[in-house]
Amino acid sequence: MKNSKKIGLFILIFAASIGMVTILSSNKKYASTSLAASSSNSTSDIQLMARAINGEARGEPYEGQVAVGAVILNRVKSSQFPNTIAGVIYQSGAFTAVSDGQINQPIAEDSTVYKAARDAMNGWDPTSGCIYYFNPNTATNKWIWSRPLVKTIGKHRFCK
Amino acid sequence: MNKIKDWVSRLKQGHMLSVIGVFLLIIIVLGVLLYQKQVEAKQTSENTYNMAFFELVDYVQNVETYLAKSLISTTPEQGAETLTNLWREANMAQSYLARLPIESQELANTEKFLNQVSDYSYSLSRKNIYQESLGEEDLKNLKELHTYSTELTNTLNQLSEDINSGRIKWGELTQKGDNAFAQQVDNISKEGFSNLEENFHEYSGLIYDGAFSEHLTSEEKKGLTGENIDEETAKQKVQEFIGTEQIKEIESLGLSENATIPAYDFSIKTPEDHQMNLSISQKGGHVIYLNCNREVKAEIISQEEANQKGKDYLTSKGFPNMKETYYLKQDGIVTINYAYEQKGVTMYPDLIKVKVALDDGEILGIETTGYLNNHTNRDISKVKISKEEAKKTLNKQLDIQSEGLAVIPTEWKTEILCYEFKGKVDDTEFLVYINAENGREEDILVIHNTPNGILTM
Repeated sequence: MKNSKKIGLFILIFAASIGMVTILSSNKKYASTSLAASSSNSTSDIQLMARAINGEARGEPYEGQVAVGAVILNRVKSSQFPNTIAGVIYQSGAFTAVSDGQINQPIAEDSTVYKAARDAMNGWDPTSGCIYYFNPNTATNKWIWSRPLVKTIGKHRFCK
Repeated sequence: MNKIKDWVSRLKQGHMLSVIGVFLLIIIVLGVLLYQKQVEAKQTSENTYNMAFFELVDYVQNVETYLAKSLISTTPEQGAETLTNLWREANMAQSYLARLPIESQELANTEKFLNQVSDYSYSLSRKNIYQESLGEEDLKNLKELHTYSTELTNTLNQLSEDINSGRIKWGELTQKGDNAFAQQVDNISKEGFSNLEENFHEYSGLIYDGAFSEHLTSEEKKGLTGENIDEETAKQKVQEFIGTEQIKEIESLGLSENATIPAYDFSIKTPEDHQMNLSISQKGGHVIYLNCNREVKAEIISQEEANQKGKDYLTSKGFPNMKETYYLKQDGIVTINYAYEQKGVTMYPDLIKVKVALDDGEILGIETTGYLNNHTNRDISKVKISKEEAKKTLNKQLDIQSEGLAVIPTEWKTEILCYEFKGKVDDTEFLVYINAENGREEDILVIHNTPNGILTM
């Protein structure tokens, strides 16, 4: 009886230590999975834009996805924002999908985000020059409401 | 009391006490390890932000110094060197500014200032390269920019003192007001950065020909001709443009007044249930863009056929004389660029893009903003130097394959009439543009032929 309890105790300690090791090493595993997400025949800018669109507007209509890509490019052209695509996307606090890591979500097989990114890159701009957009249901920033609205596409309000 | 004693003694019996002890130990060890990791991560990000900030301060100080130097440099050579340095320092400052954990709208004016310094110094350095010295107006602008840069330097120095003394911590700046304390810290440091912005309150933006100057957005849209139309007329235009047989449902999304080109938007469902979006300008009822999203599975049509399909489509929609220039193929859809041709001169600013599906040749999209912004009948009689003269300025190694006249846009949104030479050096293809008025080499593009299309860099 006593022996079996001791064995039980050892098993517990053993299990707990394995658990500990996995928790501590989980960071490394995470880092390696994000490397695996790569796709052929597109430049790194298209890939980065597609990931940003995926994080920001996965559930949006196609038009809305192109629009998010267009806003990123309009920011690159605008004097108030950084001058590169990566600079704009990773600017602190600019996109929630970057802050909360959704930008690293894998892109679904049948997703249209690559196409949307390319259309935006080729010059299709459904927003007609917008540099901001927000979801009125989740936006916490009051300042954003003061921007002149251009149009609403899907759940997002696009403004200048 | 008794109950607890009783409970403890019962635990003692079954070794339960040691089990609990071991668990507690594990939890404590885990907690300490996680805490250490967290502190480490926090420190790393704090260091990164500090580095970015101090780099920013350094670069802004350099901007200030070079601006001061540019005011007194007398020879164009010296001026060009100073301005090129200024251009680089302003660019670097921008890049570090963007890394700070502060929301973009807080820093929009600072960003804009650095951007304009960078663009302006670039455009002035070009002037200097052509041995033109700076005018009265240029010096006035530089002086104004210098005043702002001094103020910016002072504010940044104040902020860096706050950071050195620990009054500002980046980590706390990024935490969104979870508790009162964080909120407090947030407000103090936000104020510091808002002061940074207030220095610019009088600064209205320079008027110059730089890439991002203010007046560009309000510039005249040369190709946008005609009278204003109402929504009903716009709807008729849509039906004309895509044909009523292609429309199963049409939904009007209203007028976007604040758009760069105010437009009526429509959402259309085709008989095959494909979604199509169309934007019609309020002025003149021009199609700004059409975009249809559908899956293309096969690539049956050749590039030549697609080019012709696009061209026929443009002609039938009232855009004759369009010549294909570049194309890019992706996922069974090819996007072709067409430029307007006036008496054999290619007008690159008058750009229309057409998307053609490679399975059945259907037109999936058209985008006309380049054409609407720039299209006009141009004066092409200003050719002052002959083609032979222009050729002399070319690199001797360039093996010329084709030549012609073209109008190219500049970063300044002006246009230059040029000789366009396409040629090869070894296996690399180049496009060289020689100004037809003064013989300057205006631009050189490298052509990349990829299986998916031709790219120019």
